[in-house]
Amino acid sequence: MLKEAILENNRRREIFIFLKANPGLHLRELQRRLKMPLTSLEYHLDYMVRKKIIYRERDGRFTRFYVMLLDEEDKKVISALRQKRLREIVLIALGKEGAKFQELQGILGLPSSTLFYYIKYLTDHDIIIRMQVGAETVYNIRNDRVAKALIVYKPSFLDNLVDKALYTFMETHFRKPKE
Amino acid sequence: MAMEIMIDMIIRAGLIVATAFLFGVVFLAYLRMKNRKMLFISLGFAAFLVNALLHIPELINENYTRMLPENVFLFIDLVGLILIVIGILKD
Repeated sequence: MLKEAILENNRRREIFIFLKANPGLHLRELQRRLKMPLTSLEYHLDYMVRKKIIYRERDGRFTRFYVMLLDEEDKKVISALRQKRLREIVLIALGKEGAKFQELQGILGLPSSTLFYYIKYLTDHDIIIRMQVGAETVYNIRNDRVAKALIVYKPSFLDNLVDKALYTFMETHFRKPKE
Repeated sequence: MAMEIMIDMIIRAGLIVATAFLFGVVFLAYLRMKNRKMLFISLGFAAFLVNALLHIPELINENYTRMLPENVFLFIDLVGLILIVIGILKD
């Protein structure tokens, strides 16, 4: 599930980067240049238009696509999502439209205390919200900026180093977790 | 003699660069996550960095070694290690 979400996100990023470099291309031209199946490309473009990552404009018989510029709020969200694990949590919550703690733990294979830290960070930064559905707590994405941040974000060398440090110290547990 | 000092300087400079780099990465991880676990670990690495920095004046001033005995350096290392262990074991 996570792999699929990452793959889809990578395809969207590919389209986004291409559109940023070549603004105003229409669907067929995009398909030709990206060598992507038309239905798949349409699906990703629709998704990005819905999430306000790109916008379309009618020009005669063509529909042209352009990328939206980043504002200050977008930059804040991107900066909060610099760590890989945080992006993975968000990707799962985005795909499922509400993920439970146990589900996240099962997919990511993280110790509960570490996952708790990550979720607390995301809720503190207004990326995800905690919702009570019956007796269960689910985590949902707060706004569309998150989807945009996931597509626009490009990891730097420093981000990778910090990811490795966090992986080493946050995800290695020498004690048995409390039941 | 000059060669020995040169090697000494290179080793000490390498030690500072390596510990500063490690401390920088761990401290950045703390700044991004802001939790106690990473705080303890980054304080531990900060102790190692202080230890490495304290070795620098020895090259310039010989009296310095008399002012700061070897035990002080060992103590700083011990404090650093204890902080890292606390951080690692903290849930």
